[in-house]
Amino acid sequence: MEIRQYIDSGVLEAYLLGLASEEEQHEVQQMKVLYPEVSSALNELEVVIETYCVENSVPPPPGTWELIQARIPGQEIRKREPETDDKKDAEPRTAKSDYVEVEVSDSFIRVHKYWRLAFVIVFVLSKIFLIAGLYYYFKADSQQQEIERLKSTIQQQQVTR
Amino acid sequence: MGYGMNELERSAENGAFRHHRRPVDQRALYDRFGALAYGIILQILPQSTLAQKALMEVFSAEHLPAFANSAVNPAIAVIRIARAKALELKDKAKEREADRTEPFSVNNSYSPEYIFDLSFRQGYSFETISEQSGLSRPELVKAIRDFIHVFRRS
Repeated sequence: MEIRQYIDSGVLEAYLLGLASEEEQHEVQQMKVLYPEVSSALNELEVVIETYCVENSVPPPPGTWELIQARIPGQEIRKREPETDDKKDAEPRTAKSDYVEVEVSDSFIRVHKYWRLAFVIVFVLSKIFLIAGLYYYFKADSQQQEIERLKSTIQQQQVTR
Repeated sequence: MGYGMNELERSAENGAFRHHRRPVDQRALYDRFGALAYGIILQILPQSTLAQKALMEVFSAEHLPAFANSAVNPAIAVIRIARAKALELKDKAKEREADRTEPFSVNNSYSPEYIFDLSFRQGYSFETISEQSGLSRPELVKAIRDFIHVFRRS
C-alpha cells in the first residue's frame, strides 16, 4: 500500500482517537517507526485533534481537583505497618511515630499536640499579666495624683497660717 | 513537581509535545487538560454528576502510568482515557444498553459527523455501525478522517 494512501485512509485519526482495533494500533506504531511521513502526519493530527478538543473544552466544576486530590493514594495519612520479627532483628528499632511520613506541598507545619496546651497557657498568662499591669499602672497613677493633691492641700494650709 | 510543569509549559508553546520523562505532575496535568477532558466527557455523558465522577477517575493515580508511558502526547492520552471513562460510566448507568436496543439510523444519511458521533461519542464499534449502515469499515474510518479534516479546514 502506498504511504500516502495509508495516511489518507483515516486509520491514523482512528488510532489517535482510540477507535482503532488492536491490529490497526500495532500497524500504525510500526508504520510510524518505518516511515517518517507517517510519523509527521501523526504529529500534525495530534495537534488538530487537540485543537478540536480544546475548542470544545468545558471548565470542570469548582472543587473537582480537591476531590481528586483526596482520592490520590499516598496523600492520605497511612498507619505504619507493624514490622515482622525478622526486620526487627536486622534493623535496630528507632524512635518512629506510628504514621508514615508523607510529603505534603502546603504551607503548614506539624507540631506535637502538647504545643496546643502550651499556647493556651501562654495566652492566658499573657492576658493575666496584661490586666495586672494595667491595674497596677492605674492604681499607681491615682495614688500619685492623691499624693499631689495632699501636698497642695498641706501647702495651702501652711500659707493660710 | 516542577519538572512536569516545565513540560507542560513547553506544550503550551508547541501545541503538542513528547513526554517520555517522569515524574508526572497530576496537578499540572489537571490544570492543563482538565477542561479538555471534561468537554469530551460531557459530549459522551451529558450529566454533570456522572461527568464529574468520570473526570475524577481520569485524573486519579491509576491512570498516571498511561500518561507517562503513552506513545502519543498527553493531550491525546487524556482524550482516550476521558472517552473510555465516560463510556464506562455511561454503560454502568445502563443508558447505553437502552440505546443499543434501538437502531441508531433514522434517516439513512451517514454523514462524517454522524459516524464520528456514533463511534467516538456513543461508543459504537465500527463493526456495529457497519452492520447497521451497510458501510464498509474502510468507509467508516475514512468518514472519521473527513470529519477531522472538515474541522481542520474551518
